[in-house]
Amino acid sequence: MFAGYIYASYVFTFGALVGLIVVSFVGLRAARQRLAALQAGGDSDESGSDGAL
Amino acid sequence: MLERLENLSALYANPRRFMRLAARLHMPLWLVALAVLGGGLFMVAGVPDDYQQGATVRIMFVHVPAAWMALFAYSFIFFASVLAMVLRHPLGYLAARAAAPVGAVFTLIALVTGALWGQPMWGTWWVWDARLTSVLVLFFVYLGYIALWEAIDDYGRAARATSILAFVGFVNVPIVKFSVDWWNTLHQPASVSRFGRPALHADFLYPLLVMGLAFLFVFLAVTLTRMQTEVLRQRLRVRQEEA
Repeated sequence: MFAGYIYASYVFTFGALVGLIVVSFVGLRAARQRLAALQAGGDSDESGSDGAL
Repeated sequence: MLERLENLSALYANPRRFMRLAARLHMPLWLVALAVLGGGLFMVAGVPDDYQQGATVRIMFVHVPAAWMALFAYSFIFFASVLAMVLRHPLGYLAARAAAPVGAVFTLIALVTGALWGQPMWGTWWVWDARLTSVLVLFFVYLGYIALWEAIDDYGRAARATSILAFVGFVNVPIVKFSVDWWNTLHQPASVSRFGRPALHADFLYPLLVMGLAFLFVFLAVTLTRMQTEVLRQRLRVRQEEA
């Protein structure tokens, strides 16, 4: 009789949790990539200036 | 320059030891969280109908653990802020900031599943009683805390301002917990944590406790993931400032 309320509760709960988990992992991956890109850029800058010297 | 960079990163995050530890803990923590969650759901599937509430009692197994986590996460933010402001622990601000969206999501789950439970049992989605209203206030405090972090560009100022908000907002935590004892509310009083024997039958109590443990592991796993992200963002900020 009240199955709709029960299903809606579980769907909302796990939808929200999965969304949170996905956003957290996407954020972690993006931060890793940005840091790696910055480090790679810094390394190439340094090697470039070394080369110039 | 390298020494200065190290000093700066140590000042803000002392990341190396934490990141090494987090890298080791990350996957096992997620596996434990998923295993306990699977076990909890398996137990919930075998729970009998309640003699009064019928099958709707199953909403309790997501609603109550989410409400526990809403309070736990805010307490975590409070103690992390104390650690950062009073003891100058470098990871305190990062931990508090990482936990805030997790706590907000658990609070939202508690509110929505509470409404979905309230409609068939009470005949209303919402009532302005002390428990429901104080949890709604908690949700707004979470949103305010997250917004304040985003609103202030200077990291140090943002950290101090959000910590003060965390301290002020913590007043609401005992209000949420004891609201059902202090005021006449439509919401039922505590069933599990009351002194003496819990009011729940073992058929309901053990699945509820396992689901509570599962939500705790999910909170810890997501917060650890977000803390790693915060440490990396902190490194990015330091490097960009140095550049």
